[in-house]
Amino acid sequence: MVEILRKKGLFLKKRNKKLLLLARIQFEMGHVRQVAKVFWFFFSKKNILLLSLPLSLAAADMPDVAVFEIHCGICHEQMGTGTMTLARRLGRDHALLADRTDLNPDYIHQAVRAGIGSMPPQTRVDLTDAELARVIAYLTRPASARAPHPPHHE
Amino acid sequence: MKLTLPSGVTAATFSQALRAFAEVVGQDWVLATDEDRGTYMDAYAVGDGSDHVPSAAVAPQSVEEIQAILRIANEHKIPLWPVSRGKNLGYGEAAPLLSGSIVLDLGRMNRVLDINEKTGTALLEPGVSFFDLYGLLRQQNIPLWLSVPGNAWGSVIGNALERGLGYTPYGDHTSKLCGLEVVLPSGDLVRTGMGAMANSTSWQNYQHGFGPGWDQMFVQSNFGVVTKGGFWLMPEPEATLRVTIDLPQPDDIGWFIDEMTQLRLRGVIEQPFVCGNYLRQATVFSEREDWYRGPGAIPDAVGAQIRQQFKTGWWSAGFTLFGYEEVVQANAKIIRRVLEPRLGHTLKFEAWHRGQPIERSGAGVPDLLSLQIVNWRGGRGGHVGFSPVMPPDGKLALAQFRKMKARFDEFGFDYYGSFTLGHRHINNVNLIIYDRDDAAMTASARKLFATMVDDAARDGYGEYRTHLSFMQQVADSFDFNGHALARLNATVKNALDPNGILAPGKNGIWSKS
Repeated sequence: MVEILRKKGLFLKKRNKKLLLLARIQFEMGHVRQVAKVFWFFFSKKNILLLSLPLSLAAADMPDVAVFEIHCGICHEQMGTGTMTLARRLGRDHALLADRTDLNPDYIHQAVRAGIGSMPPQTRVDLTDAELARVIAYLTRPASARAPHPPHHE
Repeated sequence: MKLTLPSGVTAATFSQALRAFAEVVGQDWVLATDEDRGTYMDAYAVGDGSDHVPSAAVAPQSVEEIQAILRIANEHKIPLWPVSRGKNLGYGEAAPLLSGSIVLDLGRMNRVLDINEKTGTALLEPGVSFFDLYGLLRQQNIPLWLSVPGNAWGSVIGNALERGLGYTPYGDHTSKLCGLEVVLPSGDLVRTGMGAMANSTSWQNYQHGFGPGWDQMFVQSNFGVVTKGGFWLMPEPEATLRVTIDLPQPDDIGWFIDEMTQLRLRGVIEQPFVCGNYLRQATVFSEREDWYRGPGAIPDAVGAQIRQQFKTGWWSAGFTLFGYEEVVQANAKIIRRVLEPRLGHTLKFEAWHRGQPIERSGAGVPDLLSLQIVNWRGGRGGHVGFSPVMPPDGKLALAQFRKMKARFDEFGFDYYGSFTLGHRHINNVNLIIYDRDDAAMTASARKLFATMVDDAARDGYGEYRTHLSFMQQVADSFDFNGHALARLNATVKNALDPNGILAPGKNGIWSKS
């Protein structure tokens, strides 16, 4: 796994580029507070569970994208294990969930709660129903809410 | 997943217990729909998983709630299966050993209660994951390093309680536990080690306490629910040097283990490290059908193509030197002196110095890339590892490798083997990867596993940790004096948990009831 760790430096750089873009979009939408949160989560390598605050409470204030990144990002970001599997099995155009426009709410619900392929199911402790609804909202957001992306297959 | 009731419990009693749990944790945290039950099944089950079915889950957020849950479980004689985060992939995940058990999911108890930068100690709740703790250390710029296992999705404390491994000098995780808080099956709350003093100042500083040390009693057992764990973290070193060593021939494992054992014993190498065969890389970065679609295990000629593609040896081992600049340089020189004449080429070390990006160092950085391996056979993948403990002896390792490889060949699985060198032992991991959608392959995987347990037991090797489906078989292989250890475990179990409500059958430990 040495090679994997070596690649990690590159991987973080790539991810940060994308995250900066997301933060900029949030900023342009006037969500200054969310920008701070997005930054905080992304640059601290996310999923930090706050010294004593349950995540579900914190999530209420976050943009949908942050809920997605926290709960799904570890595997479904650039170079994530889920992204790698999807690229291999469905093709690169279907690899990054955040870029997909063919996902519907029932399908996402089913994939999360029943698992899919080698992805284990997620419990309601992993991801509450409210958080799942936020993830679904993000992955099925209308085209107007989608940012122009830099090419991600470099 | 349809409801399977715990044995001897009526539907009415079960519903009554769920209502009582809801009064304790709130209705939202009693998870008892068909869908909920499905989420607590073992996604990598060696079979359809129907032998380890949960009836529900309950997710408390405090010690008091756990105490109340245990009282209710005792009243209704309902078995509970505690999990920290339920990500014990390859060992049963969140699923209970005994069908009908209610999963006690501690994932909501995810607070980092204390981190002491000066002493390198932490106090954690069981729901804290490696990602959580890593993120917190980095975000607050605390110069303490984690040791992380291959699958870092799970709980730090849960992993240490199952004797998980990572790859820094702190890689033997269970040895870094220092002081536990435990709810006993009776509901009583104890703290081990120095924490047994109400006003202790050194709970996370001294492991043994006064009198018997009980920490290990709650490791791989079912004697209590651990609610807090003290855990030691490694101070950031000044420098690290990483090196990867490729061994071209299968038989090289013998001399390599012997040389490395001496370097390990003499403190030149301080971390547990893995020497694994080429399938470790191939399974992460490719799928089997990229190489071979024929029957049986991958032929040797195809193996050679894989090694060529990944520019890797038959075996390869990567490890890191950690410490002060002068010390790591001196140790690298010793490693060169010992290994280069055997290898016939110079070793290339990759240096990291404090201040450079941590990802380039030997620090444990949480990752889930290793989960890629389950895709190897296609379909819904699963893996299960048979990992007997052996003495660190090259001759024995070579014989063990040959025997296990022959078994993999016999059952038509691609040999995926590794030897993790501990301090004075080897964990010989034999990983079986299967496609869960192929019932015949999964059944064969199960048979191969059971065969290897028996093979190893005959040679005097027992497993260090195992999947739910093999816990009894492995426990039975610890058979000195007519299974005296099992009798001792049962005596303790009966004393602490007379109703047998806590994780019945875990690691082969049952109460009389």
